[in-house]
Amino acid sequence: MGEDFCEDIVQETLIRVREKVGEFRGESRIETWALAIATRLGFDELRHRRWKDVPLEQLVAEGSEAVLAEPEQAPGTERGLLRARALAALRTAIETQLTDRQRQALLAELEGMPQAEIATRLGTNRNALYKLSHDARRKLKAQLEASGLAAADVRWAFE
Amino acid sequence: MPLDDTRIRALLEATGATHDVEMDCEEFLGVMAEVAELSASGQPIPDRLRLAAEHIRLCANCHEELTAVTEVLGGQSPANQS
Repeated sequence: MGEDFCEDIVQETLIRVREKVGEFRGESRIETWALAIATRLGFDELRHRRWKDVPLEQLVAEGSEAVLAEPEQAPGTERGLLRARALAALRTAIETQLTDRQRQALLAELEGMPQAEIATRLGTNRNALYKLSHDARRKLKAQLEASGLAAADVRWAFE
Repeated sequence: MPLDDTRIRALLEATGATHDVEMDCEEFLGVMAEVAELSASGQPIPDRLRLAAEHIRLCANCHEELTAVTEVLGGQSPANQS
Protein backbone atom coordinates (compact mmCIF):
# COMPACT_ATOMS: atom_id res chain seq x y z
CA MET A 1 0.00 0.00 0.00
CA GLY A 2 1.87 3.04 -1.24
CA GLU A 3 1.49 6.76 -1.60
CA ASP A 4 -0.47 6.40 -4.85
CA PHE A 5 -3.00 4.19 -3.11
CA CYS A 6 -3.49 6.74 -0.34
CA GLU A 7 -3.81 9.63 -2.79
CA ASP A 8 -6.40 7.74 -4.83
CA ILE A 9 -8.46 6.96 -1.74
CA VAL A 10 -8.28 10.56 -0.51
CA GLN A 11 -9.40 11.87 -3.91
CA GLU A 12 -12.26 9.37 -4.11
CA THR A 13 -13.25 10.22 -0.54
CA LEU A 14 -13.43 13.93 -1.31
CA ILE A 15 -15.70 13.20 -4.27
CA ARG A 16 -17.98 10.98 -2.17
CA VAL A 17 -18.08 13.49 0.68
CA ARG A 18 -19.22 16.20 -1.71
CA GLU A 19 -21.89 13.90 -3.14
CA LYS A 20 -23.18 12.74 0.23
CA VAL A 21 -22.75 15.76 2.48
CA GLY A 22 -26.50 16.44 2.26
CA GLU A 23 -27.08 13.07 3.95
CA PHE A 24 -24.91 13.95 6.95
CA ARG A 25 -27.28 14.04 9.94
CA GLY A 26 -24.97 15.61 12.48
CA GLU A 27 -25.09 12.64 14.86
CA SER A 28 -21.29 12.41 14.84
CA ARG A 29 -18.37 14.69 14.10
CA ILE A 30 -18.15 15.34 10.37
CA GLU A 31 -14.48 14.25 10.46
CA THR A 32 -15.52 10.81 11.73
CA TRP A 33 -18.24 10.61 9.09
CA ALA A 34 -15.68 11.35 6.36
CA LEU A 35 -13.26 8.86 7.94
CA ALA A 36 -15.94 6.17 7.70
CA ILE A 37 -16.34 6.87 3.99
CA ALA A 38 -12.58 6.79 3.45
CA THR A 39 -12.32 3.54 5.40
CA ARG A 40 -14.98 1.88 3.29
CA LEU A 41 -13.32 2.97 0.05
CA GLY A 42 -9.86 1.93 1.24
CA PHE A 43 -10.92 -1.45 2.58
CA ASP A 44 -12.97 -2.23 -0.53
CA GLU A 45 -9.94 -1.49 -2.70
CA LEU A 46 -7.62 -3.58 -0.52
CA ARG A 47 -10.12 -6.46 -0.53
CA HIS A 48 -10.38 -6.20 -4.32
CA ARG A 49 -6.59 -6.36 -4.72
CA ARG A 50 -6.42 -9.42 -2.50
CA TRP A 51 -9.27 -11.32 -4.15
CA LYS A 52 -9.30 -10.14 -7.78
CA ASP A 53 -7.48 -13.21 -9.09
CA VAL A 54 -9.57 -15.76 -7.19
CA PRO A 55 -12.22 -17.22 -9.51
CA LEU A 56 -15.72 -17.09 -8.01
CA GLU A 57 -16.63 -20.31 -9.85
CA GLN A 58 -13.82 -22.19 -8.12
CA LEU A 59 -14.86 -20.96 -4.68
CA VAL A 60 -18.50 -21.83 -5.29
CA ALA A 61 -17.58 -25.27 -6.62
CA GLU A 62 -15.44 -25.99 -3.56
CA GLY A 63 -18.17 -24.65 -1.28
CA SER A 64 -20.83 -26.76 -2.99
CA GLU A 65 -18.72 -29.86 -2.63
CA ALA A 66 -18.21 -29.10 1.04
CA VAL A 67 -21.82 -28.27 1.83
CA LEU A 68 -23.32 -31.11 -0.13
CA ALA A 69 -20.94 -33.77 1.15
CA GLU A 70 -22.47 -36.42 3.34
CA PRO A 71 -21.58 -35.85 6.98
CA GLU A 72 -19.30 -38.24 8.75
CA GLN A 73 -21.01 -40.91 10.78
CA ALA A 74 -22.55 -39.10 13.72
CA PRO A 75 -21.65 -40.45 17.11
CA GLY A 76 -24.60 -41.85 19.00
CA THR A 77 -24.85 -38.92 21.37
CA GLU A 78 -27.58 -36.32 21.62
CA ARG A 79 -25.18 -33.67 20.35
CA GLY A 80 -24.00 -35.84 17.47
CA LEU A 81 -27.55 -36.63 16.37
CA LEU A 82 -28.54 -32.97 16.53
CA ARG A 83 -25.50 -32.02 14.45
CA ALA A 84 -26.43 -34.57 11.82
CA ARG A 85 -30.03 -33.30 11.70
CA ALA A 86 -28.92 -29.67 11.42
CA LEU A 87 -26.45 -30.45 8.65
CA ALA A 88 -29.06 -32.42 6.73
CA ALA A 89 -31.57 -29.56 7.06
CA LEU A 90 -28.96 -27.04 5.94
CA ARG A 91 -27.98 -29.14 2.93
CA THR A 92 -31.61 -29.57 1.92
CA ALA A 93 -32.26 -25.85 2.24
CA ILE A 94 -29.17 -24.87 0.27
CA GLU A 95 -29.96 -27.38 -2.46
CA THR A 96 -33.68 -26.83 -2.78
CA GLN A 97 -34.62 -23.40 -1.41
CA LEU A 98 -31.94 -21.08 -2.74
CA THR A 99 -31.62 -19.62 -6.22
CA ASP A 100 -28.34 -20.12 -8.07
CA ARG A 101 -27.31 -16.54 -7.28
CA GLN A 102 -28.20 -16.90 -3.60
CA ARG A 103 -26.21 -20.15 -3.45
CA GLN A 104 -23.22 -18.50 -5.15
CA ALA A 105 -23.32 -15.52 -2.80
CA LEU A 106 -23.69 -17.63 0.33
CA LEU A 107 -20.95 -20.10 -0.56
CA ALA A 108 -18.52 -17.39 -1.65
CA GLU A 109 -19.16 -15.51 1.63
CA LEU A 110 -18.51 -18.70 3.57
CA GLU A 111 -15.18 -19.02 1.78
CA GLY A 112 -14.32 -15.50 2.90
CA MET A 113 -14.69 -13.55 -0.32
CA PRO A 114 -15.66 -9.91 0.44
CA GLN A 115 -19.16 -8.81 -0.45
CA ALA A 116 -18.06 -6.05 -2.81
CA GLU A 117 -15.97 -8.56 -4.73
CA ILE A 118 -18.80 -11.11 -4.95
CA ALA A 119 -21.12 -8.32 -6.05
CA THR A 120 -18.78 -7.29 -8.85
CA ARG A 121 -18.52 -10.88 -10.10
CA LEU A 122 -22.32 -11.24 -10.04
CA GLY A 123 -22.81 -7.93 -11.84
CA THR A 124 -24.45 -6.16 -8.93
CA ASN A 125 -23.43 -3.91 -6.03
CA ARG A 126 -22.60 -4.53 -2.37
CA ASN A 127 -25.99 -3.35 -1.17
CA ALA A 128 -27.96 -5.59 -3.54
CA LEU A 129 -25.65 -8.46 -2.65
CA TYR A 130 -26.45 -7.95 1.04
CA LYS A 131 -30.17 -8.16 0.23
CA LEU A 132 -29.57 -11.34 -1.81
CA SER A 133 -27.67 -12.87 1.10
CA HIS A 134 -30.35 -11.70 3.55
CA ASP A 135 -33.05 -13.47 1.54
CA ALA A 136 -30.90 -16.62 1.47
CA ARG A 137 -30.43 -16.55 5.26
CA ARG A 138 -34.16 -16.07 5.80
CA LYS A 139 -34.86 -19.17 3.70
CA LEU A 140 -32.29 -21.22 5.63
CA LYS A 141 -33.75 -20.04 8.93
CA ALA A 142 -37.25 -20.97 7.83
CA GLN A 143 -36.07 -24.42 6.72
CA LEU A 144 -34.31 -25.06 10.04
CA GLU A 145 -37.41 -23.97 11.95
CA ALA A 146 -39.63 -26.12 9.73
CA SER A 147 -37.37 -29.04 10.60
CA GLY A 148 -38.06 -28.45 14.29
CA LEU A 149 -34.54 -27.21 15.01
CA ALA A 150 -34.38 -24.35 17.52
CA ALA A 151 -31.51 -21.92 16.94
CA ALA A 152 -30.19 -22.31 20.50
CA ASP A 153 -30.14 -26.10 20.26
CA VAL A 154 -28.32 -26.00 16.95
CA ARG A 155 -25.71 -23.60 18.34
CA TRP A 156 -25.20 -25.97 21.29
CA ALA A 157 -24.65 -28.88 18.88
CA PHE A 158 -21.74 -27.08 17.22
CA GLU A 159 -20.11 -25.60 20.34
CA MET B 1 -14.62 -32.65 2.25
CA PRO B 2 -17.39 -31.56 4.65
CA LEU B 3 -17.55 -27.94 5.77
CA ASP B 4 -15.43 -27.45 8.84
CA ASP B 5 -17.14 -26.67 12.12
CA THR B 6 -16.01 -23.04 12.07
CA ARG B 7 -17.85 -22.36 8.82
CA ILE B 8 -20.91 -24.35 9.81
CA ARG B 9 -21.03 -22.44 13.09
CA ALA B 10 -20.67 -19.15 11.21
CA LEU B 11 -23.49 -20.10 8.86
CA LEU B 12 -25.73 -21.20 11.72
CA GLU B 13 -24.92 -18.09 13.75
CA ALA B 14 -25.78 -15.90 10.78
CA THR B 15 -28.96 -17.83 10.15
CA GLY B 16 -30.00 -17.60 13.79
CA ALA B 17 -29.29 -13.87 13.88
CA THR B 18 -31.31 -13.19 10.73
CA HIS B 19 -34.29 -10.84 11.05
CA ASP B 20 -37.03 -10.00 8.58
CA VAL B 21 -35.93 -6.36 8.58
CA GLU B 22 -32.21 -5.61 8.46
CA MET B 23 -30.06 -2.59 7.79
CA ASP B 24 -27.99 -2.90 4.60
CA CYS B 25 -24.36 -1.89 4.11
CA GLU B 26 -25.12 1.54 2.65
CA GLU B 27 -27.47 2.37 5.52
CA PHE B 28 -24.82 1.19 7.97
CA LEU B 29 -22.27 3.49 6.38
CA GLY B 30 -24.63 6.37 7.22
CA VAL B 31 -24.42 5.58 10.96
CA MET B 32 -20.95 4.04 11.16
CA ALA B 33 -19.35 7.25 12.45
CA GLU B 34 -21.91 7.56 15.24
CA VAL B 35 -21.48 3.92 16.28
CA ALA B 36 -17.69 4.27 16.17
CA GLU B 37 -17.73 7.37 18.38
CA LEU B 38 -19.99 5.62 20.91
CA SER B 39 -17.75 2.52 20.88
CA ALA B 40 -14.59 4.61 21.16
CA SER B 41 -15.96 6.37 24.24
CA GLY B 42 -17.07 3.09 25.78
CA GLN B 43 -20.78 3.85 25.54
CA PRO B 44 -23.33 1.17 24.65
CA ILE B 45 -25.12 1.33 21.32
CA PRO B 46 -28.60 2.79 22.03
CA ASP B 47 -31.80 1.06 21.02
CA ARG B 48 -32.42 3.47 18.15
CA LEU B 49 -29.26 2.01 16.54
CA ARG B 50 -30.36 -1.58 17.18
CA LEU B 51 -30.42 -2.37 13.45
CA ALA B 52 -26.82 -1.15 13.16
CA ALA B 53 -25.76 -3.38 16.04
CA GLU B 54 -27.47 -6.33 14.40
CA HIS B 55 -25.87 -5.51 11.05
CA ILE B 56 -22.32 -5.71 12.37
CA ARG B 57 -23.05 -9.15 13.82
CA LEU B 58 -23.93 -10.34 10.34
CA CYS B 59 -21.67 -8.36 8.03
CA ALA B 60 -17.99 -9.13 8.46
CA ASN B 61 -16.94 -6.37 6.07
CA CYS B 62 -18.85 -3.60 7.86
CA HIS B 63 -17.63 -4.96 11.20
CA GLU B 64 -14.04 -4.76 9.96
CA GLU B 65 -14.52 -1.17 8.79
CA LEU B 66 -16.18 -0.15 12.06
CA THR B 67 -13.33 -1.70 14.01
CA ALA B 68 -10.79 0.27 12.00
CA VAL B 69 -12.62 3.58 12.45
CA THR B 70 -13.09 2.94 16.18
CA GLU B 71 -9.42 2.16 16.63
CA VAL B 72 -8.40 5.32 14.75
CA LEU B 73 -10.55 7.23 17.27
CA GLY B 74 -8.54 5.60 20.02
CA GLY B 75 -11.22 3.24 21.16
CA GLN B 76 -11.44 -0.45 21.71
CA SER B 77 -12.58 -2.57 18.81
CA PRO B 78 -16.30 -3.41 19.16
CA ALA B 79 -15.29 -7.06 18.79
CA ASN B 80 -13.21 -6.84 21.97
CA GLN B 81 -15.77 -5.08 24.14
CA SER B 82 -17.50 -7.22 26.69
